[in-house]
Amino acid sequence: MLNNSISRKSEDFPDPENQKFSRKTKEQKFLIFDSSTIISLSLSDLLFILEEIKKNSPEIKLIVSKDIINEIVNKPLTIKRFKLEALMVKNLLEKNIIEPATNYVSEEELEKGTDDILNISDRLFRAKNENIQIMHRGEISCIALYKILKKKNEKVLLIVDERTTRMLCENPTNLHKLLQIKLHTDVNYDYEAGDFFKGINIIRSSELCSFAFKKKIIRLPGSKIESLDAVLYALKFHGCSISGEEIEEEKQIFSKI
Amino acid sequence: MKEVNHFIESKGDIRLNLLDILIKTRKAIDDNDPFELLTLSNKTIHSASVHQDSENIAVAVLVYSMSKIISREHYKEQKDWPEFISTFSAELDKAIQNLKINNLFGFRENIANIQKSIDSLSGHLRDYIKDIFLRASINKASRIYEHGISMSQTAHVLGIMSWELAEYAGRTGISDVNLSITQNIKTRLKRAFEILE
Repeated sequence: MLNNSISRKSEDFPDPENQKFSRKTKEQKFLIFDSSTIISLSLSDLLFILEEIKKNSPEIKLIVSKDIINEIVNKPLTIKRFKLEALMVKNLLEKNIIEPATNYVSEEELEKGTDDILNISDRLFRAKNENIQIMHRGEISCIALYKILKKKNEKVLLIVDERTTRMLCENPTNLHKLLQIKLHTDVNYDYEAGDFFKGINIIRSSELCSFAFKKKIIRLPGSKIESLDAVLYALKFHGCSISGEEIEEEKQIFSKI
Repeated sequence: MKEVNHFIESKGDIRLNLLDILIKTRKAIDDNDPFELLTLSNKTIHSASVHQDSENIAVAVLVYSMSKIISREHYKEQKDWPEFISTFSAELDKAIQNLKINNLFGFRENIANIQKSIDSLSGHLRDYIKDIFLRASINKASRIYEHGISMSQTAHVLGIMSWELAEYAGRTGISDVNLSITQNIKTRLKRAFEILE
């Protein structure tokens, strides 16, 4: 009883110094979005699932770094072809469905983390006497954010639709092989440095939509499997790196649920 | 750091590779051979993926665009066509000469002049050619992404939007390559449901 009242009191009077970063509750979970995921959801007209997920589970924080906001809002706002999509994403940011990462981590910490990791990723692969820059600052900022939140013992998932980030974190040997095959040259891989990217939990928009599908957030006419097929292929055709084989497997799993 | 007006020694192979490509490009244009231009453009992609330098990228886009332009006869009926192809050929010859004497700034200027010459065209031809150049950039970006460079990095190097690349790459078989499958679906779905439920 005493403990409860103390804890309530401390919530009533938050430390103003730390107010910005003291939003942590026990159940808080973070989904970090890369630009590629927002792009495929947006082009597939599926952004609404984020609003529904957030409505059903307010403890889930959907966050993006400053670099990603640039890619998904600021830049496309200047191009007529993607202006509508950019405004729709901006709307989600204004409604706090998607939040800037700086609501939870300091900008300095994230910038420094991004610089450090970019230094590692730029030295991972080398060919023709040159380091190959395989990753962009935006993608690396997602990894930096993941690492920072993990260090704070938060539950975190990285949501990435583009292929290279996922391969780097989950199977760098495959990425090494791919680079060698495609570049038709020897590529050196720094295995030790590559270990830094191990253990990062990644899903794609396809898994996020499968969840939304199961929770009946996505409702479409026709059979369950036909609808899921339509959703997953829409994402694939808009840049989500999921193979046809994986889509078939996912449909099979769902047919048994 | 001061920029030097030549390809540095370690990048000597870039210069020789570009020189070879442009000499063959000149011949393919004279021969009206779009297929040869397509092959030449593909040859620049390996080098462009590793070095990600503006010279390789510009040549890849330029040569690919020319393969598309000369394969469509109707462009040649436009009134500005003779002027465009004459400027293009003249700047291409100068670019070859500048590569031979390792004059990097001169080479860059020649490529920029070709791009400027498109802006000075009138009406339909300018819009057609600009559109072809944009599509060529997206196509080359897709090829570099296919080589293992990330989507945002590729878009950045080519000066296009990740959105354009995602739309284009999604229609290719890039995600169906076996090496891209890095974890089984069950594990990934379980991971998603565990945190979302």
